[in-house]
Amino acid sequence: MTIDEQLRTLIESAATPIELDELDPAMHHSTPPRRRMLPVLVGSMVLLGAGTGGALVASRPDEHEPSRVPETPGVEAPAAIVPPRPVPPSGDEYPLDATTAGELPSIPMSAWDRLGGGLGAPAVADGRSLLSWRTRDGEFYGYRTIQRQRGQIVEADCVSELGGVTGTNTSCVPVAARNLNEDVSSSWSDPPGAGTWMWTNVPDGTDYVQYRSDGTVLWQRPVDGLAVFPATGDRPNVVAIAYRSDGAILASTDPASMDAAWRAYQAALPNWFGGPEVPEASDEAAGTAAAEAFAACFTKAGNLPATRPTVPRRLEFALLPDGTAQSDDLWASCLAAAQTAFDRYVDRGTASASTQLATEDTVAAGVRCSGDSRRRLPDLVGLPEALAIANLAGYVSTFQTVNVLRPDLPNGRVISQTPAAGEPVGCDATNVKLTVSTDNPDDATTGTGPPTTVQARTATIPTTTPD
Amino acid sequence: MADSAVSIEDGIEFESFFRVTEPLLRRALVAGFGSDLGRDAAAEALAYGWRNWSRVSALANPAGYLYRVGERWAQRHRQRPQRWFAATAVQWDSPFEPGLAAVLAELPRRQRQVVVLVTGFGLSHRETAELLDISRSSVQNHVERALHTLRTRLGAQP
Repeated sequence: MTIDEQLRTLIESAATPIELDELDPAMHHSTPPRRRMLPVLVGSMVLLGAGTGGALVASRPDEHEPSRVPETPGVEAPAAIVPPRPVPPSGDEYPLDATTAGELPSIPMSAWDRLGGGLGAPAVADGRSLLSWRTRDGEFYGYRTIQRQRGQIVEADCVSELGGVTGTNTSCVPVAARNLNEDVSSSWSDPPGAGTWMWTNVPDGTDYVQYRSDGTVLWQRPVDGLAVFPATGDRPNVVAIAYRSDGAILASTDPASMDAAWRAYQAALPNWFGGPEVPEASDEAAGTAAAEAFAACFTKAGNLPATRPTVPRRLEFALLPDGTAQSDDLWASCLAAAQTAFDRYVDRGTASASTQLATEDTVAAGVRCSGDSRRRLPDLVGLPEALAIANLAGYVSTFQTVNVLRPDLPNGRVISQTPAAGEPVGCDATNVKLTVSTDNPDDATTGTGPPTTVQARTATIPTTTPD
Repeated sequence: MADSAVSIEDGIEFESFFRVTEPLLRRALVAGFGSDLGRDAAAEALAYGWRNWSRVSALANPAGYLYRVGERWAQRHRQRPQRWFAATAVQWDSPFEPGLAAVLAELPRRQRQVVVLVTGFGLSHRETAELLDISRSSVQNHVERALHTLRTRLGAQP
């Protein structure tokens, strides 16, 4: 045994590791002094004498070994070590129970006009994913649907009070974000003060969740990865910890970690808009198109929501007429259709967005150009290019964009339009031109100064809808 | 229960700190002050760290600060009967050097701590210097002197 191994062994055998709960004041007063683990053979060894080799004399164990750390006079008792390990948990239980679908109320289909957290009307959810729960204060549905996130369509798991009726809470966590064990969805009812705080991705193996908010201490056994607590205030400062029954912490969440997890997820997504900010309005317009494509895909497959005036017990919109859930293939193909429709509306950070619109076999459009053939153009000046293009849908079938170097302006903004806002334009007009700022010298033929045309192109706005 | 006054975030942070720092403090203080006094000093220092976590956590070197807390505590309580290392050397048939504990006990405290941390537990000179709040050159000197003494007294070749 080398000298370093001997030194290590000597020290490690001299004193056992200090446990965290030894620092708890209760250990000072209510439990017998911890017996130190004595080394092999009988008793501890007291090192006596000096000189080479010394003398090792065995002694009997110290029967009167003083209690561990004597209290220091004048020093207040230390606070309890945390996190508390409530076995049983501290606070009152706030039970959450799984329910059968038949126990939940019917929801008028009209109430599904806009499914919170989803892409908008009509509501679409994966019928195979439906779950339902109840607390003493409310009833909840869970489902998988699609969302738009920073320029792409993603699947998300949502929990809605009363199934997502407008005005109630809905929280969605993108499926891809579920590996972030601190990612939490929270939402609050209107008016504030009667809200619900939901943790929709409690880790597997959690036996109970401890919830603390503004002096309120509750606990709950999660069901299907869900924990639900009543929230007080419109922005409750919640700290929740997922425990195993042996006290081990599996995950925790607080406002700071929640924000950090969300930022990390967002940062991992490709930003097809090419800049630090996503033009939300444009994103929403594209999302509407995607939702329509998604719904049309299901309708085409034989799912006819109009024949189901209510949603008894389950979100049967997502079910096929024979009552069976849609197949994996159908769900996947409709998801792809939504993404395709969405893609046609987003600027992927290059000047090619408008050319992506020039596809004749487009399956979705934001607004159809029909009926009145002479419409008046909206005011597009100041809008991000992608949003302006989205707004053009329904007014014209083709248009032209011109990029000018204007480093003094935000990049990608419409700085003028022809014809001007309010001027009439026909569906087939081809003379619509948007002048868009750029701060990239590579796109310019000259430096600053008068606007310089560097690029022009035409595109076609889709004017057809799914059959 | 006192936990109502306790921040859960602080507790989680302290628990992480505790896992890393407890072995360092315990080994350094046991090496310096013996098994009983050293362990109790380490426990006292960690308890102090918890009681004052908001302040201690903001320090540049909280482990080094708590070492000094433990060191002062041990010095104040040094009149207690000391028990040095519970010698594993009782395993006579093992290759353990029987005189090591005694020679180690004779080393100056700082040399003993440094040689245990650096040679025994593989801490770097920088880590040891930070923990004990001494310079790196002092660490080097203590290691060399301690090893020289061990070699001389034990006839060993570390």
